[in-house]
Amino acid sequence: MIEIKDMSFGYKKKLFSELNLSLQPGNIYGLLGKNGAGKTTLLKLICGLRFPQGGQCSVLGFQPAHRPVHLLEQICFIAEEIHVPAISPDLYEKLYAPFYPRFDHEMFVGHLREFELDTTKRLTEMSYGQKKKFMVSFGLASRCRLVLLDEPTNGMDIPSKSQFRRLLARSLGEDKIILISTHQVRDMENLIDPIIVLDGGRIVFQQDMETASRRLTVTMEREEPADALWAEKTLGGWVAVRENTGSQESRIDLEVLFNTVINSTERVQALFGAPQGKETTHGNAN
Amino acid sequence: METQTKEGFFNPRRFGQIMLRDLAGGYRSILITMGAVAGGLILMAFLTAGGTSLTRSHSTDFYGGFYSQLLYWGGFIVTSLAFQEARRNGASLAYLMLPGSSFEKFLSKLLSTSVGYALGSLVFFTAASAVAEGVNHLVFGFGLGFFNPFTAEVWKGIGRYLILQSVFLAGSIWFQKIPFVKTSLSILVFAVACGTVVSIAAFGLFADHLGLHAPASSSLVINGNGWNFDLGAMLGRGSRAAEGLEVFRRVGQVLFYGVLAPAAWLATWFKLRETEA
Repeated sequence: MIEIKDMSFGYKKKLFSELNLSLQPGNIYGLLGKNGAGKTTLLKLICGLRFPQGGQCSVLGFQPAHRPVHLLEQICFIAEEIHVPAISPDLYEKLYAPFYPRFDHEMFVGHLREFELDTTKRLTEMSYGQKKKFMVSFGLASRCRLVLLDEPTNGMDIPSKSQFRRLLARSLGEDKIILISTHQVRDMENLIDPIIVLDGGRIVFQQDMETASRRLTVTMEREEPADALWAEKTLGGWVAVRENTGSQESRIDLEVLFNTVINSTERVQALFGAPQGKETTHGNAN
Repeated sequence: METQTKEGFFNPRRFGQIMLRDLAGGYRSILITMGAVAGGLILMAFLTAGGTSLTRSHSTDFYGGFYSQLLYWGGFIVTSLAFQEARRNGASLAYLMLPGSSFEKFLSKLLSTSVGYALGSLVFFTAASAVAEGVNHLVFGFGLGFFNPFTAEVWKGIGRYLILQSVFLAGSIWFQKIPFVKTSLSILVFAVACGTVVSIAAFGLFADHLGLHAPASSSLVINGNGWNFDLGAMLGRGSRAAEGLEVFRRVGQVLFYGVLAPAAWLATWFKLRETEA
C-alpha cells in the first residue's frame, strides 16, 4: 500500500538517503525518532507535500508528488500545527465533506459528541486542543484509507487522550493504514503497533510489539548491568534490556524500546535483522 | 499504477465545491471589506458634494474615477492574496491537500479574482454609489451624477484589468511574502529594462531620424492631458522608419492583449503544481 524504495530527500543537508519502507493496511504504525530525524518530512513526502529527490514513493498505487485527486481524497493528514478557517463547524462540514466520497456525517457528529466539543463556536475561537479534536473528528469521519497524524495528542487534555485512542482503535479497518508520528509514546502505548524508528536518515527499526517482546527482555536491577543492550537509571535501580533467551514474552514499554534502538542500533539490528532486508552502513557491534 | 483521467483533471461538481470553499471560506472578510469601501465611498461622495455646494465647482466623473481605483488597486491587492493560503505555513498544508486538481484550484482562483471580482465590484459599486447619490440628494438637494456601469470606458477598463491582473495572480503563487509589493516592483523593473532596451534599439535603428535632422518643431505635443512626443512626426509620416515603428507598436499590442495573460496563467498553473508545503 505504501512502498518507498531508495528514496532520497534533503533540504540544505541530505536528510534521507536510500530510505526504504513498506506499510501494509490494517495497522496503526507508530513513527518514532529524535527531533530533526525527519518524521514530519517523511509524512509530507508520503502525502505529496514534498517531492522525493531520488528513488520511488508509491502510495495506494499513486505517486504522491503528482497529488492526484483520487489519492488526495483517500488521505487524511493532520499536522501538528492546525490551521482552521474562521467559520463554524457546520459550515466547515458543508464546505469540506463533499471532497471525501466516503465521509460519514453520523460518525462525525458522534466524534464531536464524544470529544464534548462546543459546535456553536467558530473554529478560530477554539483552543489548540479543541481545534485538534475537531480535525481528528473530521479526519476520521472522512474514512480515508490513509490517515497520517503528526503529534496528534499534543494539546489534548487527559480525558481527550483516551477518547482519541478509543476513536482511533475503532476506526481502523482492514483497508486502512494509520501512521502516527509522535514523541508522546506514553499516550500511544497499546495503540501503535508496529513500531518504526527513524534515525540518521534511515529506518533503523520496524517490528511489531509482539516480536519485540519475544526477542527482548526487560529487568529491574540494583547495579548498572555491563552486558545489557541498553540500561537506564530509574528510581531504585536500573532498567536493563537484554536479548530474551527464554520462551516467555516480556513486556517492554515504548520509551525503553526506543532508547534501546537509538542507543544500540547495530546490536538491535543484529538481533532483529535490518529493516526491509537492508544492511546498515555501520558494522555489527557484536 | 495511477492514470491521469479527464475526471481527475477537471470535474464540474468538484470545481463548484472548490469555488464555493474559496468564496464562502472568506465571507466575513469580504463583507467587512465591502462595508468599509461602501462607507468610504458614501463619506467621500458626501464631502465632495459638500465642497461643491460651497465652491460651486463641479467634480467631473467622481464615481468613474473612484471605480477605477477600486477595480485596479483593489483587484490587484485581492489577486495578490489569492494563493497566499498555498504559500503560508500551516494553511498551505490544508490547501494543497484539498482533494481537487491543480487546474481546478487554479481556475477557481482565476475566475474569482478576474471576472468574479470585476463584475462583483461593478454591481457592488453601482449599488453603493446609488446610495451615496441618494444621501447627497437628501442632504444637499443635488448629487455628483449617477455612476453608469454601461459606458465603454468602464468596460475597456475591465478588459485591461483582466489582462493586468494575470500578472498579479502569477505573483501571488510565485512570491511567498508581500506578493503585491514584489509583483509591483517586478513590473517596474521589467518596464525599466524593456524601456532601456527599446530606447537603445530605437536609437540604433532610427538614429538618422532622431537627431538634429528630425522635424523637432512638430514632434512635441502639448495638450490638456500633459505633453508627449509624436514619434510619427519625428520620424516623418509615411517614412520607412515610421512604418517600422508601427510594426513595433503592433507587436507590443499583440504581446499585451494576446500573449501576456495566457502566459501568466500558464506560469501560475505550473507553479501551483510544483508548490510544496
